[in-house]
Amino acid sequence: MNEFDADNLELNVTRMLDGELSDTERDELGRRLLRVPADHRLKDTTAAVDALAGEALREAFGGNQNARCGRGMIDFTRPRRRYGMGGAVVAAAAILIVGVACLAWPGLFGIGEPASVGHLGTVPDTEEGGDASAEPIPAGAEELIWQVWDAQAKSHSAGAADESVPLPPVPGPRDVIRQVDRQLYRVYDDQSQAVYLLGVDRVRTSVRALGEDL
Amino acid sequence: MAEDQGHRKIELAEAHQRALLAVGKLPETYRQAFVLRHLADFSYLQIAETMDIPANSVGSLLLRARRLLREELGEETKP
Repeated sequence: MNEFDADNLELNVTRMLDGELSDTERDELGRRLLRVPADHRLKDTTAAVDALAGEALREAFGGNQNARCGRGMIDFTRPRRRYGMGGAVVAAAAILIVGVACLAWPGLFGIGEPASVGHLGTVPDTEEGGDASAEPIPAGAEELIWQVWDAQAKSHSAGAADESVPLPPVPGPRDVIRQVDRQLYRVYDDQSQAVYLLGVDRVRTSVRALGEDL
Repeated sequence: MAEDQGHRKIELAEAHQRALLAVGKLPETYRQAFVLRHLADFSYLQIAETMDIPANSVGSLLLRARRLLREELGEETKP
């Protein structure tokens, strides 16, 4: 097996583990793994290591495979539409913004200690009136984190990671409600001795005609 | 029996700890892709959008991440 073949095999194993192979590709890979025991072993070891690391990450963040869409973890379900009584139209748009910030702040999370990866928690925020610029003001340590995040972190904000549903036109006076559910995760980088923050915002925006019951 | 279970629990916790440290040692882009894949359950396309990289690079990042983890943790997974 040459180097290209080896890379190609590993790439296909990786894509298989992530559910990114087509049926044809999966069948082809399956046949190859049956033919070549060494490749099969490589696949088994990769899968086992991947499962171990994934499990460790999920456990550190307080969730498990079966509870991935639960309150403690990140819910990436598709945007939902709700239709209220009497023809009132409400649309919910879920937009995810994921930022990864590098904070050189030794000591904040016990850097160097084994339990250096964890979940910082959820910062729910509800705004009414459609002001999209306001940020929640969390208390305690999280407040400090946000100050650093906002002021000096090397932050990368991503665009929406899920489709957003355009709000329906609602004639006349209306309420725009924006709900932000922010979850923070921290991951310790051994090499740079920095803590990375992963912030996930779930933003739901709904609009309703004034005076309508939901 | 209960003692065995206790030992297994401790061993698993230690294995998880080593796995977390191994993830922490991954180069930044590999780690980002790996964490987004496992914690956020993102598809390659979503990871690409989040990291602002071409979609066809995501597989390579995850491949390299897993290769490094295999080198670091391969022994952990042997029966």
